[in-house]
Amino acid sequence: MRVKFTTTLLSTLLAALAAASPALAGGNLETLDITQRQPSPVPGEINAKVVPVFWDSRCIPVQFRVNNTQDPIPNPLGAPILSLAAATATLQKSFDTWNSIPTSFIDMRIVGTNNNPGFVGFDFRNEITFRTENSFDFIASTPNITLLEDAVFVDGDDIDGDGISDVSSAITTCKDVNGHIVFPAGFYKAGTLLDVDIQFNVKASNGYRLTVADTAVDTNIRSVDFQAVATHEIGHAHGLSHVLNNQKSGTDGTGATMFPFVDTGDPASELSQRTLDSDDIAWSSYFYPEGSAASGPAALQPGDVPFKAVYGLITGTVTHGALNQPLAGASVSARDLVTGSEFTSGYSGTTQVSFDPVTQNSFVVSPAHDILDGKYVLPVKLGVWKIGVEAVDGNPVASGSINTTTQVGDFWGQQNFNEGVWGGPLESAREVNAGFAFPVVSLPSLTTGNINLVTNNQVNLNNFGSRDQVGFTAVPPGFYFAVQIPASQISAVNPGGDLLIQAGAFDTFVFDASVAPTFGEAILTTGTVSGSTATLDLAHPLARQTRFVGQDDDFAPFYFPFPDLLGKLVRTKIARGDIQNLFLVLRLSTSPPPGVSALPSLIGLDGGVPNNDVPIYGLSFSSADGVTFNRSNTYNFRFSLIVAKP
Amino acid sequence: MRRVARVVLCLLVAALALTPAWATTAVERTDTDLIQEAAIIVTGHCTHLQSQWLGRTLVTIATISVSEVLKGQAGSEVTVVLPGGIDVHRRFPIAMSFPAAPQISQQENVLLFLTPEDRVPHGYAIVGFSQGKLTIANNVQGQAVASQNLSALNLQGRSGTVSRGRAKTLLLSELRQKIQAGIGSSARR
Repeated sequence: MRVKFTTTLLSTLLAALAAASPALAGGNLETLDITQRQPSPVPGEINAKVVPVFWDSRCIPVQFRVNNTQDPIPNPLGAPILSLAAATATLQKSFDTWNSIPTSFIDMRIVGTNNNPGFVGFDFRNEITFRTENSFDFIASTPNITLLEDAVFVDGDDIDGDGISDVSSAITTCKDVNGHIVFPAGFYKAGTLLDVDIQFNVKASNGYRLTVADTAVDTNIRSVDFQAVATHEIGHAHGLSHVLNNQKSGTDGTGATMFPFVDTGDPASELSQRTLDSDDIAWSSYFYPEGSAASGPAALQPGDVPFKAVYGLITGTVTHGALNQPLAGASVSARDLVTGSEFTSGYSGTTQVSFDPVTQNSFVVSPAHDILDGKYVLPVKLGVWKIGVEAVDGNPVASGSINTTTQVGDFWGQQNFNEGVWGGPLESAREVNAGFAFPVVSLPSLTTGNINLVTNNQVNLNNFGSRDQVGFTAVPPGFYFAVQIPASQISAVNPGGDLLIQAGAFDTFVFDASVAPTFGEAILTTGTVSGSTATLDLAHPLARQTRFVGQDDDFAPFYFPFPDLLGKLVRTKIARGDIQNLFLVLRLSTSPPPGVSALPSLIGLDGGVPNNDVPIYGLSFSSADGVTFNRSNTYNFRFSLIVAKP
Repeated sequence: MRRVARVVLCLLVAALALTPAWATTAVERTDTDLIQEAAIIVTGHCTHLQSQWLGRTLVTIATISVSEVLKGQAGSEVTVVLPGGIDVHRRFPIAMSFPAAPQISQQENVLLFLTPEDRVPHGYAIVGFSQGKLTIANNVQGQAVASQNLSALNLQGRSGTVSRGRAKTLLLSELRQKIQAGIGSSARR
């Protein structure tokens, strides 16, 4: 085994030395590129490639102005508490958080104020404003204007149509002229950012109180830490997309700054988003790699660290194992093999859509047309990693909250697989040990290629429907939740044939976003049901894991050892009549729950509503003592048994 | 302290709805929040999309042929203003985009939670950004459901039916009951 392991690692390193060029798919916002204007399969339409948005290096530093028409900044909860000067100072802190990444040459600055009494728009002003329209009902947003076609700007071009020239041949870098950004003449690629604005909602009707002091962060859900929100928006302002990382590890429930949501009721969560995660830093560095040019902003300055001196790349493809298609918009992540801590994540796939130049609408055509490949790239530091893949399926973030590529994959039904890990030479759609992760080594400046993931073709035995609620909060420590999987249901998967019993998956949740959901143990065992009670054999479990780490707002897998042997054992015992049911069990921890709410970790529930999407099956049980399990007639607990045909 | 669905207090006492508290681009809404904040709730399908400048902002105007009004009053069509759009009819084609903004496709069947939009006569915006727009299709039981996860639905693409998944869905009949009940039982913190 060790010999084989070493051989594979060497081959991986050899692939790295070959330094394959990386795919350009990752944690970026996207736009369309219609430069080629190639006809699409639809008459009258053209293919539009989905491409990342970015600042041209000639426009770095990116220059912003703060709208000064409101001072102090309105407070929807009462008297103003924030002056424009204090808000500007906080914004500068957020800019500096990104600017100080030593491996990224992004540089964004506040160069002054403007006095726009209206709302933001396409005006070649990068404006930061506290004015939002009445229907704007979220905390903040960062609209951007991008070029859809490769273009040559010439002196005097009025790109936004306001009668003022936006291009000059007399400059070599973007220049703020009376509050307007003027671009130097020259060639620009599709995806180039022309104008980015940041708007914060402080309206009385649906806005938020912005606080800046550490001590001002509270549990009022209409009050939010300004620096945390600003830091997130400034991530968008240089092209970064949302990520799924809302839980660093089993002991750290905080996630990346670019996770789309901030828990405004959890001060620890709010404050954590002021600080960049390794994921945020890696993508900013990947898109703006320090030391990648001999001159200009990408050239090394004192204090800079070359991107290549710190980061290597892991590249590969993702294939949907059940559909046998390249997968667009899967979230691929690198976790530290030893600690389990997530380092970075990005999205797979290169996509295109069909664009109608007349109506200016874009359309999907077919998976074969829209999904060009399933390539991904991850920027990682020196380390040994577990590479995982996860569907962008709404838990914890929907595809519409990420980018076009994730939406294309979702439209074609690809975001419906169980999360998995790269199994090295054993990687396939039908793995025996779906939880086995083959280590991937990365070295700075090298590309570790061909880490090609295939999602598992599995069967989920789900005795539940959609999640309606999460619970339970008023149960004692050590409480048990169990779901019955009748023997007949297991036997029906592959009648007469072998079966791999691979994992349980538990829909888990936690009340405070800074907390990682953890449970005392996860168990697979057998049991019997009599009337409305069940008796579980907790003394002789088929699999048990103490301190089970859940996933915040997502299904968390509990991989069983030896799925093939487990399958044979269970099938044999079912045939003999020794097993009537399997039970998936989660037991709450006996320790006091952490977090500001001090509530236990929660499970996903289906039911408790007048008209449920599926029946309440009566297969969910709970117990305070582990002896008597009582049937729930109100809910289906969302625990899934994952099996596969060999 | 936040967000998502209702949190069940104990095994016997159901349904305390929390105001979900998130978001840098959008606040995550529960079904209850969406229902309460929406002036009108409709189902229908998109018959027309058009990018349009409103001052210096690009939006996409979606015309929705209304199938059912679940809350409020609406005619046979409603006009929905989506943030962002495309303008290729200019020397330098450009797009205006909002991260995580809602998008509607031509002929897509949708459930929309809408609030008035000042800039367009009789126009509406979607509540909670993309959270107030769900796609409607039949689930494997043949029930009409709405979901933000398109993979959870049976959708008709241009080339036919695509696959199915399992995540967040909302049964339309369940939603109708909630709206009719006025969601009066929910509590907030």
